[in-house]
Amino acid sequence: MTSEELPGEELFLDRFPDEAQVVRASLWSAFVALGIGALAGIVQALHRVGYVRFIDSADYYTVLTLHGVLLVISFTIFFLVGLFTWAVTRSLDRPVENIRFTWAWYLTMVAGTVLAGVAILGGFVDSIPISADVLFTFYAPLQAHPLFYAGLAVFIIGTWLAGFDWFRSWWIWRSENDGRIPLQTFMVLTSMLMWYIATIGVAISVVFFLLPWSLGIIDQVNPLLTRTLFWYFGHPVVYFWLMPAYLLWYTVLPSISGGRLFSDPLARVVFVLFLILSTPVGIHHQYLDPGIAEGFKFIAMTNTMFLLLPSLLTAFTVVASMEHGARQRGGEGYLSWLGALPWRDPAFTGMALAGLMFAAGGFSGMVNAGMNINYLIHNTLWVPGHFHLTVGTAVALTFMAATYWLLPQLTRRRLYSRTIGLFQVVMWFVGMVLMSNAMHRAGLVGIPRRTAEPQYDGFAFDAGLSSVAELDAQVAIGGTLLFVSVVLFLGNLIISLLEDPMEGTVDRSLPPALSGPEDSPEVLDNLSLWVAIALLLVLLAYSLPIGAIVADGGLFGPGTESYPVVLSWLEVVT
Amino acid sequence: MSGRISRAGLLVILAFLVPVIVEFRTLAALFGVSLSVGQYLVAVTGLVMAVLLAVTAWNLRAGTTADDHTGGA
Repeated sequence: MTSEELPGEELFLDRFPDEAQVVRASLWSAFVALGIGALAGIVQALHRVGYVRFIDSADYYTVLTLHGVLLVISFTIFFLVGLFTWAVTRSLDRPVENIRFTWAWYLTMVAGTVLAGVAILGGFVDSIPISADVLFTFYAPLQAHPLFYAGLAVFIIGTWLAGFDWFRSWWIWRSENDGRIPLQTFMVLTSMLMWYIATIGVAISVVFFLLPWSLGIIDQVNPLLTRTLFWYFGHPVVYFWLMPAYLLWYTVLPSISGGRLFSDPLARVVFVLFLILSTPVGIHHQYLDPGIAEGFKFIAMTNTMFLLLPSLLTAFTVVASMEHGARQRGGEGYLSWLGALPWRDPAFTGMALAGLMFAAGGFSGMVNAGMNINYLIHNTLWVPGHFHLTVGTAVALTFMAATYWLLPQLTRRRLYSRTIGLFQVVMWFVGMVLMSNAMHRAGLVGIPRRTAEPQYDGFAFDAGLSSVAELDAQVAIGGTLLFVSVVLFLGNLIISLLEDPMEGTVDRSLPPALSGPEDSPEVLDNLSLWVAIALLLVLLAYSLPIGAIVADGGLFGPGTESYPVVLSWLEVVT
Repeated sequence: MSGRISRAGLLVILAFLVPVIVEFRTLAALFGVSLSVGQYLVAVTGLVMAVLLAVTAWNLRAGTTADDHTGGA
């Protein structure tokens, strides 16, 4: 029996109690990170616009690092590992092979987060010689305490072990079953393969350069090389955040809409495209880096534009699935069917609004990806405006909305208030419209990002139709709404857990796709083939640029030759 | 389909209006209309009122005979 046939009468909690415990622990770890990250977010938003300044401006960068790392690393990936554990377990309809191993990778990730978190929080205490004010993009020349890099490394090792856990479940399932990989498991496996390829860059950067540099083992690094290795990881990590949201849009949203997934084959194609195209694009974050030849940047831009294809396929498939659901509910007409969708359900409304905002994020992303127009907005507030639409809404809002749907089957509790849930997701949408719109507008007039106090003597930004004060007001109001939305989300969840367990069950079955896996070529499930193509593309996109960076700037920075330096370092170590 | 628009549906419709309200002056400028802050506030207030009236009219037209089984907006 596979996922599509899992009976709706039995809660996940009852069928897989040990796994449900791990999923709950992962999700709660994510929500703790969300709460602290959101608090850091409102502090920095109000500080930046100058409305309320709780902190010294020097501490702004500590807060910014805390906000970035906790939300885009801890919140997203803890939620991902919980969701993927749920998805693999239910779609293969088998428990994990060794629950102790599952707890081991979870605890490894917790340990990594605590190490990195301590290093970041140390920045607030002058008497403690620990800090990590390096922002989420932790490349040189900014340097953090070794604890930060060690924490990151431990955290990533935890995710690798988690991936192994899910692969092992699939390998054993495959030895006992014939047929195609169940869709949710297919999505998890392709996401993890992409993650393994992508994290090679950050692992090399941390283990061979940043950590030894931070420990004083080596005197210097090549900043451009660490930047390139970071962005080798830094763009595919965006898709690592997005792919669980896609999993939910493809496999859960159609069911909530009252229908079925339009096309299983299209969903598989999309995940294969993400696997092969996500990594050889990172150089588009470095259009203004002088040490990389324009031709390599052009190749990265071309690769990036290909990434629009899976997003457009997703827009088509998910909207078609929603329309199918609406028509099953009595919807008619060209557009009137939209009214038949379950807008009262916060799980549906949250995911639908998240998808809509993702479309807007895609448009601003095309500006980021274009070599020529990127120059207009590079390092401006436009860029945070863009990723608050993508990871900050498409991902975060989908995760929150999905939590409302997952809650009963993981905890045997009904959501305390669907009305509060609905207000919460709409409030997030409204808050993000205000904040990200203002950020985009501010970026267009050149207001910089990563700056505590972007005011300059004798200079005023020309904000066009509005004023900088109006843009600041939008950021402040939007940021406040977002923070209140997180408080409502967490409060609703906590009160739900204090309620008595519900009697009976809820139907959380996921119906099969209208066009099932039998309609797609089996080659789509040939994961080895897609990994080989992905690695080949990475090799083509990165071998020459990295070779040139090392040749020009030295493996360990200017004035060093790569080969002798490695030898001399080995001599020191041995 | 002539179902009534629920409060949840109205909430979502108003949420969709927010981007229009936020960038109303930009939209007006595309058509060569320059608005002061006061004019902008009057215009967006009118816009919201118009939407609320339209929803009310829709619900009155749908009347009490319309079924609301769609869950709907």
